[in-house]
Amino acid sequence: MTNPELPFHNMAERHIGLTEETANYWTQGARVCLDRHHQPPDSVVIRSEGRELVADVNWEVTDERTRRAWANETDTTEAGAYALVLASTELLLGLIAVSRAETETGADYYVAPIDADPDDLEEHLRLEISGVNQGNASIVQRRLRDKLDQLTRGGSNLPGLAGVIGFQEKLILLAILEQP
Amino acid sequence: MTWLEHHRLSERYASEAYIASNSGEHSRAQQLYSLAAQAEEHALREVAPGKDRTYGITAVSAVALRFKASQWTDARALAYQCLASERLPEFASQQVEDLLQTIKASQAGIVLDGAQMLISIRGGNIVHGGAPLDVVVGKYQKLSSIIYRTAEFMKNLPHRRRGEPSQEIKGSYKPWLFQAAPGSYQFTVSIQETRQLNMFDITDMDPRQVVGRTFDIIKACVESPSHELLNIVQRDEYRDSFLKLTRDLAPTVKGKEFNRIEIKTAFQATPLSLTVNTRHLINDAIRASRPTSPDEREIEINGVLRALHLDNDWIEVLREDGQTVRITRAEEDIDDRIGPMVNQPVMVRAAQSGGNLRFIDIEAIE
Repeated sequence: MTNPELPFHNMAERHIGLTEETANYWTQGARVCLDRHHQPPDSVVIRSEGRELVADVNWEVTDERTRRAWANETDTTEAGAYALVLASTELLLGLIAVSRAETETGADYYVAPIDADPDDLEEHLRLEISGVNQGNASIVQRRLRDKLDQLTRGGSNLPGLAGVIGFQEKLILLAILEQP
Repeated sequence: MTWLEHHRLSERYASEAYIASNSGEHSRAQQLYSLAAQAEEHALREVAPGKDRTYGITAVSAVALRFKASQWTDARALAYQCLASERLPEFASQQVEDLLQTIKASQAGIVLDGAQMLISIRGGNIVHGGAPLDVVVGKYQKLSSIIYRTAEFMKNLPHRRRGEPSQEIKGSYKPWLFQAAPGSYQFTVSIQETRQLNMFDITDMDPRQVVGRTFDIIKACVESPSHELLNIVQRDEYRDSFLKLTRDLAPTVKGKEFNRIEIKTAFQATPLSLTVNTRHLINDAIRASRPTSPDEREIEINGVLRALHLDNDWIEVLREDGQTVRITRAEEDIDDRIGPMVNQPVMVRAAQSGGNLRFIDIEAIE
């Protein structure tokens, strides 16, 4: 049996909350992150709520000029994480990005089932994404816990979904938090 | 137009602004953020009754967009308008309050320069405009220790186990504490270069470089203590000190006093967050670097640090059951960490072999 492919190319065609420019920007960031540790084709493990899936990852290796343009490691890891975590929510949970809302330091994305009503944000899941460039599974797991804490903090804008990718480890962890 | 149509327009402008900003086109980014803010404010007016979560998210987004467009007055006016609305849910109210603090600081012209770090302490007993003095002083002291250590590390000086930094280092890289915004729990730590050194060539070590490197080291301790930290701090004894000092900055496991500390510099748009999990992560890294031998087992001792004699290599902890325990071979730890812990509750990790306790690690607890 062949593995499904992680859908992180042409994401704006399916994720109605992403513009084409943003989606392509993130995909490029993801290619740079993957190039740091791996060669195509490769695969990642996605885990969520007791489910596990191995997905194939295919990408075009970035050239020197692209890598130079993505010299800032933090920005690159963030962009790459957005692309691959969102692709994982689409593949494993059937959730796509439907909306973007600004925050003080960045933006929150909201995800929902493909056929959900986009007229409001009442039931959509707020997405907390993070990426770990280097580090083993326990570091990825700790980062997921951090993101879950972030989701539950303060007045809690729940429901929410946290997703973390370990680029070196080729591991993506997803966890959903509902309103208590 | 409906909420969705206005919101979609705002999203499009904001996405373009984000890419323009990351590409260094700051003027274009501000224009696009302004257009996005206008559209989001229109969207806010169209949120249907009863959809309070949508209202809250849209309100935060609209204020944030005005802020990102550097339209401070409009941003403040909108923030107060939203806070006055009965529709604003609690989560959004907190975020708008946080935005107001940042807007006030920006409006007051408080811009971080390269030699400054902005520290925010949140959660637990911390309130808007107030924090327990010992928490603020304690965190300032820890941060100062990390800054001095970074300066010593950058100068390739021998690792200091005892006493304070040299007068030369303290004179040149003395951290100062500033209130970042009136009535705020945020404060700024800034290196004020007070005098030149004679014994070092400091032309390659401007305070901005020290602050930048300090931030990089703390970030590596927090995010990648087993990998990235090794790349930027190759010397074992310095790495160990940085890990422990950074852990001391983070909230304790209970998180009663505070549960998050954020550090921001002029070079980083997103603040670095230290949470309870930071402590776990760093503890794992420390433990991995100090394995016990086959005839030892690791134990934890909780109590009050009553005495220490680092020259003679021991510390004493008064346990909750009234017994005093002596732990030896504490030479690996350093004065600027253990000193402030005297008479404070601590948790000591030790390797037990027969009746002997060998020191592994110590941290303050609540």
